[in-house]
This record gives sequence, C-alpha cells and structure tokens, in this order.
Amino acid sequence: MVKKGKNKHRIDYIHCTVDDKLLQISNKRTSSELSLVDVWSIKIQPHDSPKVLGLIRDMSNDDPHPLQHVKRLQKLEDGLLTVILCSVDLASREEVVSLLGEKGLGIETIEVRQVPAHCPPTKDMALEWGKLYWPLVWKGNPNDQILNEMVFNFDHIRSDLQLICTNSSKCCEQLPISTVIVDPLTNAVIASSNDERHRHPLDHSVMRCIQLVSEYEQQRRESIDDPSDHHYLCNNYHVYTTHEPCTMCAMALIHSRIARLFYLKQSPKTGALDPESGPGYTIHDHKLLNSKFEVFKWIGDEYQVADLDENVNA
Amino acid sequence: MRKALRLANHALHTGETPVACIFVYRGNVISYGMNNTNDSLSGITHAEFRGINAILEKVEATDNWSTFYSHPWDIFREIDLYVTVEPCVMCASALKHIGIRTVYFGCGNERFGGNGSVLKINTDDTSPNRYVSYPGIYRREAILLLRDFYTHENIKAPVPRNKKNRELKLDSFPELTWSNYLSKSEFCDFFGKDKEQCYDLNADVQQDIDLSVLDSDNIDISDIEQSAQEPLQLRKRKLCDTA
Repeated sequence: MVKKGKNKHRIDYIHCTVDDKLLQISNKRTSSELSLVDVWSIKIQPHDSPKVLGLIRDMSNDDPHPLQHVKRLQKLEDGLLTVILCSVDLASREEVVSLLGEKGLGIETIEVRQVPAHCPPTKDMALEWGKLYWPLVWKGNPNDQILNEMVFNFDHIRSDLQLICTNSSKCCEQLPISTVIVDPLTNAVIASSNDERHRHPLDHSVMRCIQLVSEYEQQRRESIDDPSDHHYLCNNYHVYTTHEPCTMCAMALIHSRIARLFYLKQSPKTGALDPESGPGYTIHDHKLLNSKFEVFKWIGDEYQVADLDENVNA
Repeated sequence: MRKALRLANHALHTGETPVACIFVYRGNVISYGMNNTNDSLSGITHAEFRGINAILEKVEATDNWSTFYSHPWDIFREIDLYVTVEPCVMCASALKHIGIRTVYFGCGNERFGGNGSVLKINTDDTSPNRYVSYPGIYRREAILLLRDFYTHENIKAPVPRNKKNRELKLDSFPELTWSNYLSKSEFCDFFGKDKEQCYDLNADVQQDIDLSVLDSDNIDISDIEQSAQEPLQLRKRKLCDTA
C-alpha cells in the first residue's frame, strides 16, 4: 500500500492532479472511465488448467490488449472453470479453435465475453467493475506510488511557465509557440526559443531548444577537461512549452532523454502526448518506444497563450 | 538504394551508426545524410534531417527559386527519399511536415520506426501530407550493416555495453510483416503481382544478399558528394500532358 501524505502537495490519485494545478498526462491505463474489450473465453475441467495457462502465457506477450489486471480463471458452475484466453483482436475464432485443438482441449464452450480494458485507479472501482463485468486483480495502483514520490518546485514551475508565456506573447510574424529547457538541479534555463518555422519548416520551438542545448554543451566542453562533467543530450532536463507538441517534437524529446515536460494548451488534432489528442500516440508513455518522460498539463488559468489553428503541429 | 547503402557502410567505417539516406529530385541525388548523433552531441541529428537541411540551403541558394515555389520547402513534393533503415517516429513526422513525395527503405526499425513498425505516422491524420513508404529494398544488406555495428560498442553511451561475444549472423533474418507498412494492392502495384506470395508469407522480395555492399573498400562516397554539390536545376512541373 502506498504511504500517501508524505508528498507535501495535495495529490488527487483518482484524477491524477497535483495541487489542482498540474494534470498528469499518461496513456489510458489508469483512467477511471470504463472501456470494455472483447475476449475469448472457454469452460474447462480444473485438471486442464495447466495446459490452458501455458497457452495463455504463450499468447499474452503479443496481445494488443494487456490483460494482466483480469482474473484468468474463475469457478462458475458445475465445477468447471471459465477461462479468459486472449482478446478477440489477437486471434480469430479459427485460430483459437486450432490452438485449443493442438492442446487437446474441447471447443464447444468457446464464446466472446467483455472485460474491462484496463484496471481502474482505485480498489473500490476494481471491485465494482469486477461485479459488473468480470473479476479483476487488484494489486494497488502503481501510479499512486509514482505520483507520491514526485518532487515539484512550484515556484520554479510558475516562473518558467510565466517565461514561456511572455516569450510567446512577443511573437509577431511567428506562431505564438514558445519553449524553454531547464536543468532542474540548478534551475538554470539552458535553452529558450520561439517557433521559427517561417524560416525552416522543422524549426519548431522544441526542436530549436534541443539544438541550442547541444550547441551549449559543445561550447561548454571546450572549457572543461573532465569527461565526467559532460552532460549527455538533454538527460534529466525539464521542458516547458506553451502548446502540446507534435509527434516530431515529442519523439525528439524521447531521443534527447528529457525527464519531464509541462505544457499549457492541448493540441486536440495534432498533439502527441494527451491520449485524447490526434491519433492518441502518448509518445512519452508508449510501451513500444525505448524510453519515457513525465508529462503535466497546467490546468490553472493563470497563464494564457494564444490559440493555434487546429491544423498546426506545435 | 545501393548508394544509400554505400553511405551507410562509410558511416560504419567512421564509427557512426550505419544509417544513411539520399534524396532524389528528377532522377538526381541532390542531397544525402548520415547519422551524426555522437559528434554533434544532439540526439536528433538523424540522417534525414541532414539531408533535408542541405536541400533547403540549396534551394535558397538558387536565384530563381521563388519563380517555382512559394516556399523553399515546396520542392519536397517532387522529392523521394531512399533510406537504409525505416525513418524513426521523429523523422517520419518531419517528412510529413515537409511534404515528402515517397519513401523507400531497407529494413524496419522495431524500436522506434514511424512508417509502420511501431507507429504509422506517414498515413495518420495529423496533417494532409500523407506519403507511401515502401519497405524491403535491399533489406538484408541494411540489416547486416546494423548487425555489424551492434557487435561493436558505443563508447559514447553513458553505460557502454560489452558486446564482444556477439557475432555477425549472415544466415537468419526476421520476417518482414508487409501488412504493417503496405496494403496488398499497394504492394502488388509496386513489386508486381508475381511477388504477391512474399506478402502473404512475410518473406523478402530479394532473398540473395549482395555482400559487396559491406566490403571495407565499398566506402568511397565522392560521386555522391559530387552529385549533392551540383547546383539545383529547378524546372517547372508539368501540370498536364495535353500541351
């Protein structure tokens, strides 16, 4: 169980907010909104369960719907066990039938059921969804621990958000998009840039800042001899940006190994972080990509920046 | 693609990741790129970006570009990219932003490919610029270049991994799941109906490997450099054939 309350900020573990100002942006796994996924289930004799569990183990890695939160075996009636095999999106009826056939299992009871697609954020909700649809495994919400251990320096967050707001308001010919990259250990602003795509189509403010960090590091290395003092890319830096970044910029930040990003305004059609934006990539929290970073949206109304055309990739 | 592979082989022999690309405009190589993330201390100087930057500089250096295009980057509507490895998610999105015409690549990038391996950025709805991206061109050669690289250590990484025990395998290749990248009709239109079976079997269209690509004497790139240095000859696009 998470020892809550250690964090000096007010954390809402259900809605994932901090002091009612920062909203944690992650992929949908811990959302409190119920969504269901179609799965194949069969009924088996209890002594067949090792065979079936072997089958489930083999298939679960490739399943596009992670089902770790779903109880796989459930004793229902007649002493039989009902088993959740895999999602319907993973395998067709024919494929499931042939896999069961290989293991010598009967296929008469095969049917489609609906189970919750992800685990809810609280134990009570897990019990409730379990009663309504299918029993779930509750192992605590790992995100509670993650949020609880995060450190926030609101003074610096506020001053850096104010900085990008001011910079953004100075854009005349340019789009009003502004970014800074900060070293959270010293709170020094390492790079700051507005959007420059009127000069170069790929000079979005995030890309410009990453480029400036590398130029800064190149210069710095000329005056230091100790390689242990070298900084690797944007490793552990924090990024503040006015508008939710596009796919290119979000992936550039993955390549650059940043630790955390804050933004002010969602980009509903083109954004790459919020699961509700664009195609819902959540690049910073994607299980197939090689690293991750934390993302928070400022949900207070203190910092106002101009809207973009919905088709602009920020 | 053989030119792109030669560039990648050159990169391998100079200690960079063996990923390279060429940009072709009206049958001519007008720019090329190799990864330079180690030297530049920037994680985003991928081959594609270097090639794109070179083209924009060339267009801007052409006196009359504005009689053909309203922006220098409009030229990308007539440019195709040949790259040894599938563009990453960042580059796939960048290629969309500039409006590339078509992409051809060697092997997929299972860790962060943006043309179908991990995400399919090239055809998503974030912008009207969608492009088709054809995988599997000299795929085995591209894989072997990477395998060769990953048997060496990247001493610039924070914690270099010891890879001394790895060997270069020449005989086994992963499947190519064509449907991640192309529809069957896109595949048949490009590779020919007679290759349809490759699509169904997730098999390479080119099974034979040209090992000369990996030779240590196949690293002279002066002809490509030469071609990329030629000034641009911009021409009006033919809008219709009835004239």
